[in-house]
Amino acid sequence: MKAYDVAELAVRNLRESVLRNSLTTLGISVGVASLVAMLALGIGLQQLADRRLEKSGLFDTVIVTSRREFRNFSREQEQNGPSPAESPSLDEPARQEIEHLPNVLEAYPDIRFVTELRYQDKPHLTMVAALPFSAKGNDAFEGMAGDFFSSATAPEVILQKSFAEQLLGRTVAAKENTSVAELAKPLLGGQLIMRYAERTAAPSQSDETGNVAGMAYSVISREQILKIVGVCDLDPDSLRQQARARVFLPLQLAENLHVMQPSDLRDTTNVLNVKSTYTTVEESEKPKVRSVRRRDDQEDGFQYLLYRGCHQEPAAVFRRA
Amino acid sequence: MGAAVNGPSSRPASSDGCLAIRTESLCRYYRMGEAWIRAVDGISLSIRAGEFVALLGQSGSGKSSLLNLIAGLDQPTSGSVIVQGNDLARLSRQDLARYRLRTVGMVFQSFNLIPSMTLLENVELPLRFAEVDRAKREALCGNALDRVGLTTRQRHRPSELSGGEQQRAALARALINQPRVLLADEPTGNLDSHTGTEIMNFIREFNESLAMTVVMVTHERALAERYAKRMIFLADGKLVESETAVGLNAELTHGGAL
Repeated sequence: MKAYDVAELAVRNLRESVLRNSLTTLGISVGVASLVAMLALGIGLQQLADRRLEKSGLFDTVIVTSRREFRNFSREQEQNGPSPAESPSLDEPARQEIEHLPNVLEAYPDIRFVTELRYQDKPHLTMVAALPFSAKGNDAFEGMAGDFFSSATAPEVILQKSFAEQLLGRTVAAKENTSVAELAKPLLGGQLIMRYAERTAAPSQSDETGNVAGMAYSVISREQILKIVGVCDLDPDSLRQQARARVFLPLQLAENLHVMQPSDLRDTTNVLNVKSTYTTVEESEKPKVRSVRRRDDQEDGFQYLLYRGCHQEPAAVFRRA
Repeated sequence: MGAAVNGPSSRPASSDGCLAIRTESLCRYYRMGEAWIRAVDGISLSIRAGEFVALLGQSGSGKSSLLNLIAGLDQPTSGSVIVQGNDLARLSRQDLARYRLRTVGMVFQSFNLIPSMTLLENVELPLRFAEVDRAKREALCGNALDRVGLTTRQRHRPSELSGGEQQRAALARALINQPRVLLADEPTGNLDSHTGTEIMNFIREFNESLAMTVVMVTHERALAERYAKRMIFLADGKLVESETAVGLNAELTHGGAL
């Protein structure tokens, strides 16, 4: 039979019973659409999960720590390596060396610290972490209210939803139905004052015997005004589990601030051939720090410096050997 | 590839040029559970070109099964059916379809017209399959319907016609491609005697005027005696006897073949 005749008969048969054919077509369409929707949903969810996992850093992020770090003490699996004192430190040359390894996209310092942030004159203590500008593509920022950092050095901050709720004094019950956009509305464009301990190089000093401390630096209490630019629902720092941050700064800004890190304390005691090191704590120019009290303890031969913050609680203790 | 089908104008390819249909030890068995039904059981017969043959027998005797085998609607379990020189068992599906389209025409007891089509479209359908030009089709259909007296009803649908008119339309459809063999399976079974006679007159007219071979299955011996030149009796799938309509003596041929 000719194609024209086949087509003509087909059309004719379709027109013969319009309602039945329409219902059949509708049924098939609904069936096929349902099937496609189910498949698309399944594939989409799978892709979403894959992308989330991929971008979470679980599979492509390697956290490198030196044995000099406190956190590596007493790990059984690392007993066979060099001693902490002989391990290389993770300084800028080491970072560059890592960055030039094959298949490494970028290497950046892990800057995170617990500090106080003031919002509308109320203090809030939390973990702050620095994010590289490349984190802009992180899935955690999808659906974020506001914007990502405008530049790598901008004095801006992104808040995790739970911290935004804390700033606004939301109750647990209210949290359940609060959207990020709603939370962000009063916060975006607002200011946070971050107080932090800045590490600055100090001139070398010698004691009575002439020994020189090689790791001398000063710690200065500083404040930085930060503009709230975004509130994210998801957690871009979930990889850190317990140590995850709820406030995020641009990495370059954090580096420029020279925020003192816990490892800095380790460095002061890690110079084996130096008999004594010292750390000084300088009072900030800001009036928030009320006092620095000096106390000598002659019994164990150590001298302690007690640094008191505005809460009258010890914020940090430094000792001099 | 199967053998080429001899069309309506071609000469029979068998050695016996005047034979239109020949079966040799033709068997068709059906399985029903554990039992085998011998619908056609070793039938050998010959039908000459232009002959009008009636197949008679009781229900279940194998008349329709034999007709279906001759029509190429069914395949034999064993034996052979040779129609117009085509051994149907050796034809490919495509050749068999071509055989059904061009070599045989068939009418059924229940007419088998397509209810959604008009008479003209029903009659036109075999021409569409035969890929006849659209311009020629209408004229051919008009002539065929005119021949069976349905010119005025060609735009009607089958449901709007009487049984006799439907069977006449079925006849026109069976003959539209000018087949050499007309197979009729109880063509008057659903019709009253007057209408049945009318249909039989048409069939006889085609048999005589077109020299068309006609094989008709019927229950009615009187009808067969009146119109058929030869009657073949079947019982339990076997050929019992054959007799001419005028001579009542059984005419047994060699080896049981008639």
